[in-house]
Amino acid sequence: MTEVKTSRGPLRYRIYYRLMDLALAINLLGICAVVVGTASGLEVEDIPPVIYYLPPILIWPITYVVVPLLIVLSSMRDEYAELLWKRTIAQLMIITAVLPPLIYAVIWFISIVIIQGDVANWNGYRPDWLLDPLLAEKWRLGVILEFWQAFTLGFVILFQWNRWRDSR
Amino acid sequence: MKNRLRVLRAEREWSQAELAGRLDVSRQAVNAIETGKHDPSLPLAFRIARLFEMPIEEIFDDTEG
Repeated sequence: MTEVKTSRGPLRYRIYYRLMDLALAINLLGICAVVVGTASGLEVEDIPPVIYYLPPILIWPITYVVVPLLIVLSSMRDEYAELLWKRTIAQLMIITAVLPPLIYAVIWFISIVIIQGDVANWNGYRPDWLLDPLLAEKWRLGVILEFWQAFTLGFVILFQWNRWRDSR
Repeated sequence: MKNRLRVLRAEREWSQAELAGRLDVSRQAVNAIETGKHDPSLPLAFRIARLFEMPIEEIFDDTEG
């Protein structure tokens, strides 16, 4: 394949950084939309369909297509982007190792120390209900999609954070 | 690792983007090397040395302090 080179370096390397910028911007926009939507207390029926469906239409192609491609396609990364990628993956691995036990510890702490539930009468019942605001009434594939979304968002945020820190 | 890339580039009045184009890397990579945030791989170090027509050790300095 013929490599497209410009006076500012190979195009694919520049596209990689631009797509990463776009992914961060679109995801931050999505987070803002969720925060504003939740804070406003509006019901779904009160929101015009164009407004309601705009964030997902923008975010889903980025989250489910562009970012996974940015993670997988090493040919789009020069050696510095590869360094940032490795640093980001190492940080994600640490988060993956630490976050689940941390969530467990916090949930049990809230349940036993703050709420002071009656442990003796639980009979195997665990304080899962504390996670209901996040996970209740989710269809199972929905949980996978949200986990995927969180992972790709984490990758983009950490990559851009590492890049920003290096540029200072 | 310290290096003289920024000085050598300035002497030739090249922008970071222009140098990136000559080295087949991104502008971000040139910036990271110049600021010492990234040590280039051996192949890239050789490309830099060839471009500036200098030995590698005259561009990169691996001595402490």
